Amino acid sequence: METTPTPQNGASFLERLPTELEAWQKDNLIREDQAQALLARYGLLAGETPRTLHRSRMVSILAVLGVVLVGVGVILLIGANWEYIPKWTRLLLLILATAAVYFGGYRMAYKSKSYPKVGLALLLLGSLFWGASIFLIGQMYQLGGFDGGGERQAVLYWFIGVLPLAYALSSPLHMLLALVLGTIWLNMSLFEERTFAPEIVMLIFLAVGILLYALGRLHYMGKIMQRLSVSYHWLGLLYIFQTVYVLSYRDMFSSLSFAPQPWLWIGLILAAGGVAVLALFFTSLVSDRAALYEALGLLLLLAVNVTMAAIFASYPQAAETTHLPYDQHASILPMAFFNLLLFGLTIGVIALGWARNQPGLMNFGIFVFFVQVVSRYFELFSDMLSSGFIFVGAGLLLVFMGVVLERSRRKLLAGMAQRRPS
Amino acid sequence: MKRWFYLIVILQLLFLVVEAGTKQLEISRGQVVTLKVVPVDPRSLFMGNYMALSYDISNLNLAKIPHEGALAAYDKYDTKVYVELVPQKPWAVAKAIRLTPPPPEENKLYLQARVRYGFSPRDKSMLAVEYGLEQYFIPETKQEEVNRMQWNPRGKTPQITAEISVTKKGQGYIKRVLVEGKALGY
Repeated sequence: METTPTPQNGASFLERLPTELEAWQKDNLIREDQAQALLARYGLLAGETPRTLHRSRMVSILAVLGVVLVGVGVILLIGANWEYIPKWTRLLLLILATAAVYFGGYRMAYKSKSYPKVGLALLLLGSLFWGASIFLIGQMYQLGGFDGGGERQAVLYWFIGVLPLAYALSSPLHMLLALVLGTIWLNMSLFEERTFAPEIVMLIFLAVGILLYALGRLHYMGKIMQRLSVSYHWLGLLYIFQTVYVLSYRDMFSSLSFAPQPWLWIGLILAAGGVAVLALFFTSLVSDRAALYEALGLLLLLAVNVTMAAIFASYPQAAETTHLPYDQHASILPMAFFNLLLFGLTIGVIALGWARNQPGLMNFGIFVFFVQVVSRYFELFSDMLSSGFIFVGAGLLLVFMGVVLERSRRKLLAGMAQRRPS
Repeated sequence: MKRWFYLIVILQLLFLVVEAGTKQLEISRGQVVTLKVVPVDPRSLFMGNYMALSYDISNLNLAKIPHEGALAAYDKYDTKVYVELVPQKPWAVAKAIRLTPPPPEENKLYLQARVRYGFSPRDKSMLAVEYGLEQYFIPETKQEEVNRMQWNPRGKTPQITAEISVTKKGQGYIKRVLVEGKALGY
């Protein structure tokens, strides 16, 4: 007798899978070895229940939180420069601990597979210890560098060491650590250098955001590296939105500064972003329609970025940063443009989240929308008449879009009903 | 995966050993000079508290010190310069400033530096430079002690010097910081 598929409302795919596989086996749809292979594909053990799955997730969360605490604690201890343990002893202990944690973690996660979740967390701890060792060497040899550049260089070494490990282990945790380190290094480089003007920093952030987002999508499309795509994707999204948000303020364009800028580096980041976005565009031609719109959105952002770079590069190159006189009217056009861009991106992200069934993206879009409305409300408070018209206009546009979507949804449902066999 | 994991981890560990080893070797092989110090003290994000050091050769009077090329060539942030030193007692002094390193056959003692502030409008010959030797990391527990040592409002300001190991390429490393001739034990 065939078993009836049990409705498991609210249960995720992974939670449903073990029960479903059991039912399929009973119905002789699949053999036991095939069921085992399917379980292994999703990292599940035989006899896994929703409860054990929840527990497994809890183990991961606890282990990672614990490891982050230990790692940050060790970096703080290095910072304290405790004089009672000689520096060479400290370094030796840290190198030995790094090696032990790495090899122990690898054994637990991949060889014996006795504690896979804890093992992965220990591998992350190894990378944190490795970073702490670099700082210890910097401290031992007083490698402060020019303008504190020694610390910046240490963060760069750490990033360069962790990134390949993320790929070798296909570990999202290591990828997140690497990208966070890359972000810290970028911010240290941009804000500690005295020659960078704020608009150039924004230009670089936007270019980095486009590059990261496109890389995230490319990783996702290449099935092997799908696990690593999340950090790229979200960090890219954050870079893009925070940059466009900052550029949407009127004051950003009321006085511009210019000075010799690192055009070679900006050009390289833009070129890398361009290659990644074009690769994504051509890949998306054979993919779903949402991916195509996403690639077109990135191309638009890239065009904005290149235009910004061309405008800034056309300024007379002064030896030092100098400021243009405050001009309130000159700032209106770019402000309006970046507000429209932010609005369009927000709607785009919500639509993407809806099309891909990703509530996280939709929530992010709604959050950005809320922040933009509140920001503009207070920024434009002094001019309530025009602000009021802008808000009413934008609101009506959204309602109109809702009506259009509702109509297309009805048409779609009617079409589906006609096609359904009677 | 296994092969790549082992390779990357071994490379990471080797990096630590090589980095520490080369710095140790460069310090032990370098020529030691003593510089006069003018200290202050902040904290770094990852490496802890440090004394921010400034040296008497951090401000160079180009009207008095022989220099290569025109004065205007030095008046730009981050310009790389090479400061030739005379290792004399009680501390070394700047003998000449160059825009290019001295040829190796001249066997001269010099430190690499970078211009921080161009000439001030008041004095068109004073040049502020950094040597990358401006941070001396100290234990957190010794912060108070160091503060008292540097900023004694009643007593006289102590004489602080730093022993710098200088490589043949002009790279400097702080070996020790001395207060009234006595080395700080950390």
